[in-house]
Amino acid sequence: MTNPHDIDHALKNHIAIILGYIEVLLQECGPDDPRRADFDEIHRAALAAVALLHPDREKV
Amino acid sequence: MGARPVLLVIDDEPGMLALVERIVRPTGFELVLHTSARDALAGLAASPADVALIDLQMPELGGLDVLKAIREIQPQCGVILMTAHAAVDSAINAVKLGALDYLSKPLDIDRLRQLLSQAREDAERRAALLAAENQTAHRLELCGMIGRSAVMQELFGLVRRIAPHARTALVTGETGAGKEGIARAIHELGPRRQRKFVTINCSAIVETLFESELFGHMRGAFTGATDHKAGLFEAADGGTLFLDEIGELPGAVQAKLLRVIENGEVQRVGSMQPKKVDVRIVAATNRQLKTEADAGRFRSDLYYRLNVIELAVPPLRERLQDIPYLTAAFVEEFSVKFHKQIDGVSPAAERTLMEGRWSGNVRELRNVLERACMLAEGRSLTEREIQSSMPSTTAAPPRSTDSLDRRPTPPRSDDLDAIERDHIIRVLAEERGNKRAAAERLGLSRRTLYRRLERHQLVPSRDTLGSVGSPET
Ligand SMILES: Nc1ncnc2c1ncn2[C@@H]1O[C@H](COP(=O)(O)OP(=O)(O)OP(=O)(O)O)[C@@H](O)[C@H]1O
Ligand SMILES: [Mg+2]
Repeated sequence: MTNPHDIDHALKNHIAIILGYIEVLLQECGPDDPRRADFDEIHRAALAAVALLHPDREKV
Repeated sequence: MGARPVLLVIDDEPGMLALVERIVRPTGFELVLHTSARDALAGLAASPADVALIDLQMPELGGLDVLKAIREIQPQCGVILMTAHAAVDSAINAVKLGALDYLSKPLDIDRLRQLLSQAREDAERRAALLAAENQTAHRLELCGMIGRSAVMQELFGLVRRIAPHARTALVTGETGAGKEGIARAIHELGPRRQRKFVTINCSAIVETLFESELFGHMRGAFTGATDHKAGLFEAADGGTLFLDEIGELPGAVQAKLLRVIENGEVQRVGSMQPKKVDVRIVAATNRQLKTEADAGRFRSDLYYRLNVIELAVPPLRERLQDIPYLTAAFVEEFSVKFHKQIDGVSPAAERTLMEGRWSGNVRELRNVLERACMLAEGRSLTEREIQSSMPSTTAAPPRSTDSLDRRPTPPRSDDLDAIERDHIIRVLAEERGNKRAAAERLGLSRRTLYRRLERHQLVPSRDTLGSVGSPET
């Protein structure tokens, strides 16, 4: 896969998967869950990546 | 809805399928996951889905093409598209093509759940409607006989009213119209339903054997009578004897039959001993028995005895609005018989059926649909499959407006009403059901056309409007 467009497409999909899973996990864990802080970190990073890949889109 | 609703998900990225499964699993959907759109479409016919969630950009087949294919093969399946590159024009396209919604990736999880629960409610509502429709259908049937038209409903009502009481009945109608079905219904709905229904086809019996068949014989009564034998009257004792094609009964037997009906006694051939029998007699004929009687070819006294109750089954061409219902029932019957998944007929195929002449009536319609189901390749019978299953005498003349305008088809009867009705049907068919255009060509206002359609029973109720044309046009 060398075409920059293909790479961009695949990357968007992978980030979407990461973001999707982390949101499911966040919805499932209670407010006192000890993993919550870690999940929040992943979520923030994933959102930042999405913002980079979709400069035209509002933050999700 | 009995089973769980089915969600079909197609995405070339397996991680995406796993994510959707993770999100959707708790909502009670059964999931079918595919990375290949072609495989997914191939499997759809065998295991239908209620909703499909489809990636827009896939290497082998784009999401819009998959959407189109699903709208074609399974229109009741709701389709949601998703894409990593949201673009306004593809979103508009998707909605135009009938998509429920268009989601961008990363997925809005709550929105997805909401869409699915909505789709699920829709599917349940459809299932409930279908069940209600089936119930209605059942209520409007008579012992499995279908007839939504006013004339048939009237006939069914008459059968229900006379069945508990009638001792004799005469069923008249053209070949294949359903006389035997009506005769059976009289038996089934009467007090003798637990007893025998015995049939004799009067045109199939050698003249010399009639008496022995009907009344029985004693040993030695004639050459070949090697034993005592009970006739059909004795066999049907307590039940119903169906004398099909009674017009073919030889004169001598007619006289004896009349005596049996009047005295309730039979005498076996070769016996002097009369025997009491209690038999309800239903006779059927496709001849004009009155004319036969007037011409002296059928005993008038027997005719008047039989026609105390006459049940006239109208020919199919006088109840075209039954055709869609009969068609649906026969297609279902034959799709089971041939192990094919056929849901119905295309709109063009239905028009072709509505325009047929059907001189062989329901039997002919049934045969045509049997052949068409045998030929069928898709999930709905096409116009071509219907046409090639129809004898040329049944098919309507070619629908090219040009030739039809100059060379009107001969009317089926001299009755002015029938001519008008035929003409309206033809013009409507040529205008592909467009009532405004048809009204214009007929020189009528749309309202007047509607009134005529009602009068000719071409629009029995809203749900069958589609068979002649959609109500909006
Ligand atoms: N109203 C109906 N609904 C469903 N099936 C029907 C109906 N009328 C007729 N049929 C079917 O059409 C076929 C012919 O019907 P039937 O044998 O009752 O006709 P008939 O009038 O006795 O014909 P014939 O005069 O040729 O004996 C049968 O297969 C029957 O099941
Ligand atoms: Mg018959």
